[in-house]
Amino acid sequence: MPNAARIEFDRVAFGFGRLPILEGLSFTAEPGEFLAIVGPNGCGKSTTLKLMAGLLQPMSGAIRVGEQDIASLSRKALARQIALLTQQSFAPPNMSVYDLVAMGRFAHQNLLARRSREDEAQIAGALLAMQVQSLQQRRVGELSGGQLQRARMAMTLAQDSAVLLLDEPTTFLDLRYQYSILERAQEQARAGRTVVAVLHDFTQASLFADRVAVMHEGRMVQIGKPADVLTEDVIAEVFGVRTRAVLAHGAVFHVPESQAR
Amino acid sequence: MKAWLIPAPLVVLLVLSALHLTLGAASIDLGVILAAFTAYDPTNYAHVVVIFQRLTRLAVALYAGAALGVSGLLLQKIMQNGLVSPGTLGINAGATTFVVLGVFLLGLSGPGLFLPALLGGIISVMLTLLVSRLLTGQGDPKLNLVLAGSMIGALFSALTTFVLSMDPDSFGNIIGWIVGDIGNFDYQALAPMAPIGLLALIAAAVMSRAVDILVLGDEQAAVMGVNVRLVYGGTLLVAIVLAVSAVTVVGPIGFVGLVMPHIARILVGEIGRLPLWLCLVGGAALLTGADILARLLMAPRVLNVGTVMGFAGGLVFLALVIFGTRRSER
Repeated sequence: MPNAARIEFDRVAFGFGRLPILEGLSFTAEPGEFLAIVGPNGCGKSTTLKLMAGLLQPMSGAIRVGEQDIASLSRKALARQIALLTQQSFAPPNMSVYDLVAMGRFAHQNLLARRSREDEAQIAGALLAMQVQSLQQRRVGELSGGQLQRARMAMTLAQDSAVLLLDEPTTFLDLRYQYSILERAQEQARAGRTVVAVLHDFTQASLFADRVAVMHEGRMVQIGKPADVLTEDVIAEVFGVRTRAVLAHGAVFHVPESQAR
Repeated sequence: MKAWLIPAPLVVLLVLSALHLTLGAASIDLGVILAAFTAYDPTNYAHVVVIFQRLTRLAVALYAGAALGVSGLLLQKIMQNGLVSPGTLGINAGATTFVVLGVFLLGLSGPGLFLPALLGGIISVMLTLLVSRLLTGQGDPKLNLVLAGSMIGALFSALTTFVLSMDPDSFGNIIGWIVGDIGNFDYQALAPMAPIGLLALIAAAVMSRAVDILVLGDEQAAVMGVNVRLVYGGTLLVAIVLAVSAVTVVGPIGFVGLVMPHIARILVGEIGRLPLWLCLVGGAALLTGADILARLLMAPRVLNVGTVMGFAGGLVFLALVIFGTRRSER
């Protein structure tokens, strides 16, 4: 397993031009933890994830992985610490699943050398963890949406980073594959990685995540255990809809008040 | 991995090279060609033809074909667009204009024309990218890029014609070069181009793994450890250097850079260094083959290889626009 590292946001602000998108964002995500970020569209969830991955630079404040400011790390050094599964899902259709997953090793390779034993072992481990070993010789173009997403997640696992970020990893997937992706993400957290995922579905967030962060208009409104955070009041404040919360099977369900019987 | 694809193109290339040396206005036996290499006799006319005409012509075809093939592959990979090539982005036209300007204003010749050609190549790509950005939001971005390229190419071609018309007498030699005539090339120009081309090829091989990852999208590539701007810019520069080094020697030649990446993609996909190898050897073979045709089609008249490639390239480009953009893969 990779070295463990926590992610820390320290009073981070971000905006395009003068328009602030995120303000005073401070939180941490710990090794071994699955943190889910939820919130309405445009609340800054994906922006937070991009800041964490170094794709955007904060206007003020600092983002640290372990003890290091991510702004001080090179692209490759950062990639060895933090992996992100983006929403961009294009890959050449005639490429094999194995080659796709092998790309995850880029940050550990020098420019000319062939794959090392360590590379091969990590690739095999990632294929196994995402249950795509039987697909490894298949072409990417032949995969279903769920298979492709698992292959892409295997690619990010092969990166062997301490932190794993997932940007809406279950969007457009059948329910079975949604659960499969989230279960694998949870396993990675149990194995010691720091996992942060932007999710849409509260129920899924409450079921798989250890903690949930609720964002609204560029601020973090709540962060804590799912049952403490995903309350009727918070949902009403953030999403503008009155609901009835139900706790069952270890998950939080929200039913719109108008529909509740 | 299709291992046979490593030696197979070399065999094709060797056969075409042998044919290139034997065929022509007068056929020369392979035995005589070998003798010209091993025991050169300056009083033997056939030996002189082999060494000073056909071999140099072959060397130029090999170099320019290889350089243009690789250049096209690099451009198509970083721009994720199967329609781009040194020709369709306006690089060839821009380089040509600056070569003509170099001759007209500075009196340059031979390898000294490489720098103006490089400048012209870089300026034309910048303009093409700029114009395609102005077209953002309307139409298909992939078609917009080549549309911008052809606009810039047309402007530079007009500029070339204008400069030539200023002083037609001093450009007697250059007309053959502009239509891509291998027979009319300046032998001295090739030697300094070879190390430049070699360096560019090494750079392309070194960067190939990072370039591969760009196909996943800029953001995904960046979080996987790729310095996207550096890799994009570096690869673009390498592609321009390769293309203009070919232009400096033989003038603008289309088609090779456009079609070789497609052939490579059909055979081995686009990931790894094998497509690079195929475009290198295949590009050389393609131009050598075209030059054989240029000398045989209307024998005893010799066509310009640029003309042969222009016809073939125009037709293939049309087919790619019509059929290629319908498929989602590019």
